[in-house]
Amino acid sequence: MKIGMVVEGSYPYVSGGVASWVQTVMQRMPEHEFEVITITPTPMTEEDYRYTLPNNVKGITNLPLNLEQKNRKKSRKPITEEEQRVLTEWMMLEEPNSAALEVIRSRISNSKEFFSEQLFWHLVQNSYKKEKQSASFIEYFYMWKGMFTPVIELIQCEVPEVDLVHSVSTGYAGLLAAVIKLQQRIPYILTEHGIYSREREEEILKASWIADYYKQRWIHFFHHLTKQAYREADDIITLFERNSELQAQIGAPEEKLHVIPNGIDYKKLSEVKRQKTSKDKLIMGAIVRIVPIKDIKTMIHAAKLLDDRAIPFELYIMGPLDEDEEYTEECSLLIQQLDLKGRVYLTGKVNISEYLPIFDVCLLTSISEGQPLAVLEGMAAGIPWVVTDVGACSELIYGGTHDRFGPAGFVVTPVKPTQIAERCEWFYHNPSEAVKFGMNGKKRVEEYYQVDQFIDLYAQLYKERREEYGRDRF
Amino acid sequence: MAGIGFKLQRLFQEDYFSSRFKAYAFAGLVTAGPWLIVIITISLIQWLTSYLVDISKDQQELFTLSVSYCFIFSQVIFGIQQLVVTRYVADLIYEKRAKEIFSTFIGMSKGTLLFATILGGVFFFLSNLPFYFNVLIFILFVTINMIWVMFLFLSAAKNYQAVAYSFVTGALISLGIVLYLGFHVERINFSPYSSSFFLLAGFTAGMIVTLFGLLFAMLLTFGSRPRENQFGYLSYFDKFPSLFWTGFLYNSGIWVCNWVIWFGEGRMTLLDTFVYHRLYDTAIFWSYLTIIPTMIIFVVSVETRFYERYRIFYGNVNEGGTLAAIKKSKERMQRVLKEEVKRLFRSQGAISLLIIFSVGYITTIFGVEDRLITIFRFTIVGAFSNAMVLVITLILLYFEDRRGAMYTSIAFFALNLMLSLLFLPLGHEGYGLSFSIGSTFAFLFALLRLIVFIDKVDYHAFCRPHDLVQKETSIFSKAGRWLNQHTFL
Repeated sequence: MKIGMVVEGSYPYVSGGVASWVQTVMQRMPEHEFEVITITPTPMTEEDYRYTLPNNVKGITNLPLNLEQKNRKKSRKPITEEEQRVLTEWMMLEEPNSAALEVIRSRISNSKEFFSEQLFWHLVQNSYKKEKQSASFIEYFYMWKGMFTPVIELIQCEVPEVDLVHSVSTGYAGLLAAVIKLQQRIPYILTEHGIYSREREEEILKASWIADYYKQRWIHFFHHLTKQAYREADDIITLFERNSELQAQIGAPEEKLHVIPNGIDYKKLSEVKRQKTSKDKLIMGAIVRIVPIKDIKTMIHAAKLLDDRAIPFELYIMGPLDEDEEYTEECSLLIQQLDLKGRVYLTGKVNISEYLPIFDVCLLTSISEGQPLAVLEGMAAGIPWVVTDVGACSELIYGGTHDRFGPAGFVVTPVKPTQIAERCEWFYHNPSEAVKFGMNGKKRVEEYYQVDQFIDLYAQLYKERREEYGRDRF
Repeated sequence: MAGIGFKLQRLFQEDYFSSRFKAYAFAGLVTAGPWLIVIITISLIQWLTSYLVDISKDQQELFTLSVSYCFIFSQVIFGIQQLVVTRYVADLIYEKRAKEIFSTFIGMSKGTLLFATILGGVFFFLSNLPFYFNVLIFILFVTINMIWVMFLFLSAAKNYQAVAYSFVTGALISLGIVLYLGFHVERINFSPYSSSFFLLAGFTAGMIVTLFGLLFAMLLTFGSRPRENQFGYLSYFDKFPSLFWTGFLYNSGIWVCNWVIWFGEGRMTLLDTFVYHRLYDTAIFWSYLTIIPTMIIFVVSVETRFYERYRIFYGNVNEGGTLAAIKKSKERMQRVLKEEVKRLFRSQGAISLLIIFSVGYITTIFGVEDRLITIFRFTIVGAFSNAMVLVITLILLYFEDRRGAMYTSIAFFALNLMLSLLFLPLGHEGYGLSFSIGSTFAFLFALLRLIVFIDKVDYHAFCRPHDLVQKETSIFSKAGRWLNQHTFL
């Protein structure tokens, strides 16, 4: 079967949790073919690939946003009143609606033309009045254009024919997947790692370039896209309980919700021979991209606290340095300023299995996470963790409801260097407990978080859905 | 986590409304100015020469026709580049690249000289006048062409005072010399053309004084005078071809009826060189004098009441007014515009009507041909409509409705041309008919366009449907770049 994998700002151009997950799914299902449809802010080329494409990837369709659209053939019939009503409701973010997507796809002109039509002009004015806005109209007008340019472009673009579509987030990817589903009459599976609309909401609230009085509408817009994806998806899957509850809150129908945790290659990592921990130094590792969301600075501050307490240590922060060069620069400057050179290292992208044997403890200080694979990898290698209480971290370290293995480390509050330092200090003083924690984690991964398990679940789901739709089809 | 986020939306924060609306603020003056000067000068000269009893009728005609031809055809040449350069210069000022204005002046002068030389060459080829007379006409022609060019740039710099002084000085000297020579010219007699030659030379001397007055003002106004990028303005022929068509067809449309009628019943040729139609041409010059009030009222009302509302409206659009404020200021602007156009229509209408009815009485006193009066009554109507066409074209340009302005000019030119050809067989019976009907229909078209456009002016300001035009040509931009690299002066 040919599966359309729709991703946004990720695979194969940006490495990270979601992209690696996509790579794993495709690699592990050689029996299926994949068409990757990847939405990016700017056009990308093969030189930007961060992954080696598996052989069963039959094509990469890159859809950059805000690109000049080709002129479309004018549809012969003018847009009907009913179509206009549906479109109006959708653009005013009133209700998700499948018919509206069809109107945008085949009944209106391309974004540039549409924005210069009277229909659009009336829509914006009515919406402004309906929302009882009382601020700058020109800003409102450009906000509309900003919102719907990518929407129209995506909905109208050409995509390959597939048998099933799978999007790895809601947002633009979810919107496009919904359109593909409706257009090609195929099943749509949605896997959300992080909760997209929540993430956008946080971003918008922080964004200084959006006028405060229009932030609400932007938030509303991304919720609207998410609801549309929830509406069209046959299955709404996430990695852990907490997110599943959030999806339900946002409006995902309960009967579509599933939890399928992420998994790792347990076997390979479990064979890592740990070197005997040396009493004189605490060796710490962090398998993490150097970006603000991972809050590397808190980690460095925690290291400084350890230093102040005269705990001998080394900290290896392992991950690509080029994803946010400004932030990386700030981090290395902080290391210098706090006089931690020679103890805290930014190693860049390295082979992690070379480092795993020497670590006594691993750290994760993110302020937001899904279900971090790095934590599972460390656990599989038998290393205890100090993690922040975000995403699935607590579930991973302490175990879910029916788990009997015991803690695999500590969970602390985000952005609290003291708590991290204290836990690390505890590991320094209790090396045998640390080993025990490490073993707990190892057993938990073996039981619940192996890659084959989650691949099997998806393979089965693909099959079931395809069969269901296949019956409808003929 | 995956997701583009929406940093990309920032693309939309750029200044979409780089307000170029003021670009045409001086277009009115630049369009109406030379035209009025042409009319007034020719009329004055016709009137004055009629008192020069010592000079033969032929010599008088030779002088006035030389001047008329120079003025009429220089206006047409000016129309080719006028609006395009006006827009370019306005954008230079807006983009704070005022330094390049002077080099644009050099570029436009070169372009103008090219056209003037071509037309001059054609004239040389067809003319049966002695060589020295042709040279003198060519000097006057080039001088007047250059005067218009400098007039444009000094208006852009709002240096109206210098313009006024130069014109007044030049005109006084011209008239002085013409009058002096007119009464003493019989003493100089070296050839059959000597009297008209000296009149024309005197007149040209005055125009050259104006030319140098303006040149001096140019040098004072533009302190730094770089030579780079003289032909950058050519790219605007690619960007705004509609402005070229508007300027060219409007200015040609003014004279196209004359050109046709020069070949109709009652035409005359002077010395195998000038074709003309004494009655019709005179009627046209006189009738254009009747619309001077429109020009004055228009400039005053635009500079005051209308411009104020216009600024408030676009201020609300660009600077973040609420929708209600935009709508309200739009209504106010609409109302004031309606009032001003109505007022203009009424005042000019009253003046024109008064002249149409009273012209019979006045001319019996002066003893003018009846046929002239009949034509004159028609051409007054035409001149009235022509004035309204100009006013509405300018207003459309204020609102960036370049297409509307272009369509109006096309209608104005095409109707005048076709009706003139159509009515030509009628001979004297039909003279003036084509101009009055053609201009009036062009006026009605323009008025309709304005009413429809202004009703959706907010939609046009935001959605800019006319920016969607097909691909721009690039031939003029390329020519401009090539010329910039191969410039010696």
